[in-house]
Amino acid sequence: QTFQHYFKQTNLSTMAIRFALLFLLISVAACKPRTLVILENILTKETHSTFLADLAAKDQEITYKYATDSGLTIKKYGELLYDSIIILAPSVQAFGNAITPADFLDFVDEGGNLIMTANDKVGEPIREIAAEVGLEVDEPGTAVIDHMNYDVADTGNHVLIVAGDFTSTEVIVGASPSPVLFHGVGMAADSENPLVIDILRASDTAYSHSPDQDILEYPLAIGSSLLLVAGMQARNNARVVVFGSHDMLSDKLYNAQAQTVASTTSQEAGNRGFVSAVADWALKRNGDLRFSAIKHNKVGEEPSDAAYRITDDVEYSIIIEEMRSGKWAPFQAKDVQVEFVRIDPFVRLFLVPDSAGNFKVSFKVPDVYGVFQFKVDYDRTGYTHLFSTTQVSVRPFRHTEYERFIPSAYPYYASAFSMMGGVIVFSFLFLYHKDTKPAAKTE
Amino acid sequence: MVKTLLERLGLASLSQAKKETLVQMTILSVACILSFSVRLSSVLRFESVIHEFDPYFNYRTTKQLVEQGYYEFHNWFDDRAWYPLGRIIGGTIYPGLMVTAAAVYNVLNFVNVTINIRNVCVFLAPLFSSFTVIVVYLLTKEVKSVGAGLVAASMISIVPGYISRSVAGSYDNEGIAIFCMLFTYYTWIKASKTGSICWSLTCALAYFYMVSSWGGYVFLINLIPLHVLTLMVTGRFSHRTYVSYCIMYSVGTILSMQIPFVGFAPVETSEHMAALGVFGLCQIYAFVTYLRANMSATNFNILFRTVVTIALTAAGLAFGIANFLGKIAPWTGRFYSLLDPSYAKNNIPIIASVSEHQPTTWASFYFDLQLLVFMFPVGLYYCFRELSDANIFVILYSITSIYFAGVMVRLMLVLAPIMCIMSGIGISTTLSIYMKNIESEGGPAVAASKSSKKKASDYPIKSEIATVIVTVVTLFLTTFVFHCTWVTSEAYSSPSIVLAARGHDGNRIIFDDFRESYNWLKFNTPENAKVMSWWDYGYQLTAMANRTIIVDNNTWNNTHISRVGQAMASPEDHSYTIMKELDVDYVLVIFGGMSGYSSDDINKFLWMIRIGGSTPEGEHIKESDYYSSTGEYKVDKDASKAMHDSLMYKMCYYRFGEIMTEQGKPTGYDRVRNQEIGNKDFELDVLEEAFTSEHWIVRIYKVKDLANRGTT
Repeated sequence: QTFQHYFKQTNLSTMAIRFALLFLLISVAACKPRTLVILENILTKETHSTFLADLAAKDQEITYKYATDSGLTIKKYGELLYDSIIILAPSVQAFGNAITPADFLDFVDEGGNLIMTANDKVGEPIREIAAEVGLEVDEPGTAVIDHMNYDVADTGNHVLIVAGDFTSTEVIVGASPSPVLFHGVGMAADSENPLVIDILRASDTAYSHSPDQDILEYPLAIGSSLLLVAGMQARNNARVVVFGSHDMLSDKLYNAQAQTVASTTSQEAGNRGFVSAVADWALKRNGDLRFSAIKHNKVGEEPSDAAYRITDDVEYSIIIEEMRSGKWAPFQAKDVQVEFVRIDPFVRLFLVPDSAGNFKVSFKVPDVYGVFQFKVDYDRTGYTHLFSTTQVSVRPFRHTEYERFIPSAYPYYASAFSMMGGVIVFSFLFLYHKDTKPAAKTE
Repeated sequence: MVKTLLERLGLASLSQAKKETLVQMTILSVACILSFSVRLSSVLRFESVIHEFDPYFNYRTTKQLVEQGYYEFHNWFDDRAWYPLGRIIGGTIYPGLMVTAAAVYNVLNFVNVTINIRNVCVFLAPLFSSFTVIVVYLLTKEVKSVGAGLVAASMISIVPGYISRSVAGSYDNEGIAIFCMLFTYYTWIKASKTGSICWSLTCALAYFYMVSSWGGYVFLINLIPLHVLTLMVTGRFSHRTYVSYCIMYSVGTILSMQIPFVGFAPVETSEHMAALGVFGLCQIYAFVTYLRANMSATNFNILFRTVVTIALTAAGLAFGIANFLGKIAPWTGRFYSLLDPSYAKNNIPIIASVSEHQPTTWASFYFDLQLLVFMFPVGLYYCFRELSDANIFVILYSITSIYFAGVMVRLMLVLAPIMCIMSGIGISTTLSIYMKNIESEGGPAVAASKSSKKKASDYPIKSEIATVIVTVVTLFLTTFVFHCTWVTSEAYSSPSIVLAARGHDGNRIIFDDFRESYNWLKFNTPENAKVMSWWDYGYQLTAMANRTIIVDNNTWNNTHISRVGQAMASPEDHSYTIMKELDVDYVLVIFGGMSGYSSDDINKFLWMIRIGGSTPEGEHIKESDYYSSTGEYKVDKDASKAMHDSLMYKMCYYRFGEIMTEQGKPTGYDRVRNQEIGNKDFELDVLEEAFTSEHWIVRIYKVKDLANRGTT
């Protein structure tokens, strides 16, 4: 009987383990970021096969749709169907299924990431979306022209250019990107939008204009204010990247050699590495931060809901993790600060991380009562805007918490007690004193 | 008839003295019951709710006291108020009211009368007004006579000037403070009459209770020394006064310093210096009297002159040095405005902005006191005719309080009791003189009295004149009763949290917008949401909606209030930075343009502008910018650009242009200002409308976040 009992138990437990494994698998599959790739036409899959293959290797659950597909949907029952959308359809004039640019912007506002490409035949929807994220894409028919830095393989209009003015933000473009080949339209950033990130700027000699028309008007942008690849991280941390060149992602330029007319040496174009790095950033596989386990307590005590008292010693800790190539890893920056704020910060200190990404600091609460916030506001280009406030109350001393005997008050204690003694002595004297010579007073 | 009634009750066999006591007790208890019941009309008409603004705070703190115990209450740091500064409740209030209510609650519950704390709070003021009736009786009896006491007691029970602050639901400090004040006066008169240590200590304890319940104790601690000083000057100073004042002052001061909010003020601030000075003077006076009794006249004179010269120089020097070192705190603004009515208006907008700090009009004297205004001088006359220590006290009380009541509307409350006492004396004396004359016709009792008196009061048709006067006084007293009842029911029984108006067909329309909105906030916003509103609504918001607020009725921090004023008066983008700085989630405004409710935020807006502009951060806000080109305060199309752009204007009139408020008027017609608003079609950029109450009285807006995709 015992044996049977034992058997039953093992059976049950193995079944439980099996189910657990099954759930784990399902959940892992479900957890894979879902990406929608919108293709211009059937050819795009051929011309951009390396890019798509690289994308597939990024551990994504990819869905391919044509731009004009009548089954194109990005939202169902109010839920986003994808985490990211990549639009490889620069010249599309209208998306299928009556999807409008507003739908894509809505997608961004709800937290989805967006990658788009443009070229000299850029369509109105793409320009509209770009305009709404603070980027003005130049009109169709124009191109970025650079008479000094065009590639040797250029066909005469000087529109296939070699660009190397990358943003210094490593988390977006990788460690040391090599110059890339670019053929497409330029963009200008909305000067009032603080969220735009210049990922790749044109060289000083470049400008944006139609190659076969005379220049009569000032171009949209020239020099380094002309953007070739630009991004934006919205306030909800959704990321948008616009490549001014659709060809930049193509197999052709991936495998090309880059050599400006001025230089004698040619080197392999850095397109593949650059695009892959930027895509990693845009798909939040890099530079995404998250925090958890915010803990604050009096030094040497467990966290509690009670208010702090002025001049208490408190500890604050927060675990910050960073997405590095699609994997969460402990964040290791040295410049994360915590502030203790009541309108103005009263304390501002660097947090010290340990190897597990647990950032910690301890300090003395200022001698000011009120409602304070532990505020971590870490905003670095390329990284998720990390913002966390924890509200705590700081109360003054209770009536029993003041110092009982202060040295400077000893004279007063002495005077009080001597007075009391004096009153007692005087009372006795007064009550038991008998005037011996009452007659003397009347004189 | 009284006789038959007494016979029927079997009381006819009682002695004269006992009968008198019975009549006195009956009158007094009827007055007590009347004073309690006349204050209940707001409860009968509306419901058992706390009124107005401050009482909500008192109610909230009392709840805390009852639930958490005294020490938690004493140490309470309130993080819901004055976000993010917070407020130490224990150290910034007069706890007498809450402790009284909690004591009543605990005693009742101990004897198994289960009453909830809200009802205790609602009915506390009427209860204490009953006590006041008794104290007024005792006080007047000490000063004059039993008859005067009964008349005064009957009057205080219904006088509107006192009812205005003590109706059921008006759970405020003044509700019990008037009782405390009069009780202190009573014990003081007793003490100074008898010179007994026991009465002096009772007076000190009563003073302590007064200090613990109202900031108006300053009046008391200046009046009593003034009385002592007057006695000294008039040569009535005696050992009795010396003993009673010295004990009362020293014990009372030590006790008053136990209230955290008062702290060291009794020995540091100018308001209390008079009491200290008189205390010192008492010692000197007594010592001088002692010396004079023991020295020859010439020796004494030499000594006296030297000492006085030295003392005056030393005192002058000491005062100068202390003033220079800032040891004597400057007089507070409220006190200055007592002495100089225009002081506050010119210097401190936050004090001037409160309607109850405005100077009193003649009309409101008559409205609140009616008959008493005329009978007061009569009483004063009779007091002067028979001067005594106690009489001098009530004379001083009446003269000082009539001045203060003229300066500030709300000090009418201090005036009302003395008006009753004086009128009581006046009416009672008049009646007793002329009543005798009516009777003298029948019997020769008066004729048999002293010849001198007979001579003075011997004139033709004596009885007829007496009858006329008695009839007129009776008539006046009757109209007084009607006036008081009418004023109480019409003017002072509105809880101001629920409003009532008459509709076209004469029906009562109830506006319950405040509670509707506070409940909306309570159930529809996050627990820790911060609500910005003008400070008037702070206490109600914390007590009823249980949300964190930026400023409230305890206007202790002028800069913080000014910041809110700036947010209200600035254009949207500027306001937004202020609101972000203060972490505001919701903004609440009171708007009367739809319903005709006149004490709304647009009418208070000028004060917001003035207060907002009174600090360095708000220097750009100038009152003149908000007037129309002709210098008027308007909301129609003549209004200035600053007015149209201000956040307050936009919040009040958002979408108001689409609404037809009155027949035959254009859309967007403001029924309070009687103007068609000037800017009808606009959108809000940084706010979105979250809630508007049924009659549009309360409008709540949510502060939007920054645009997700930059500025687009």
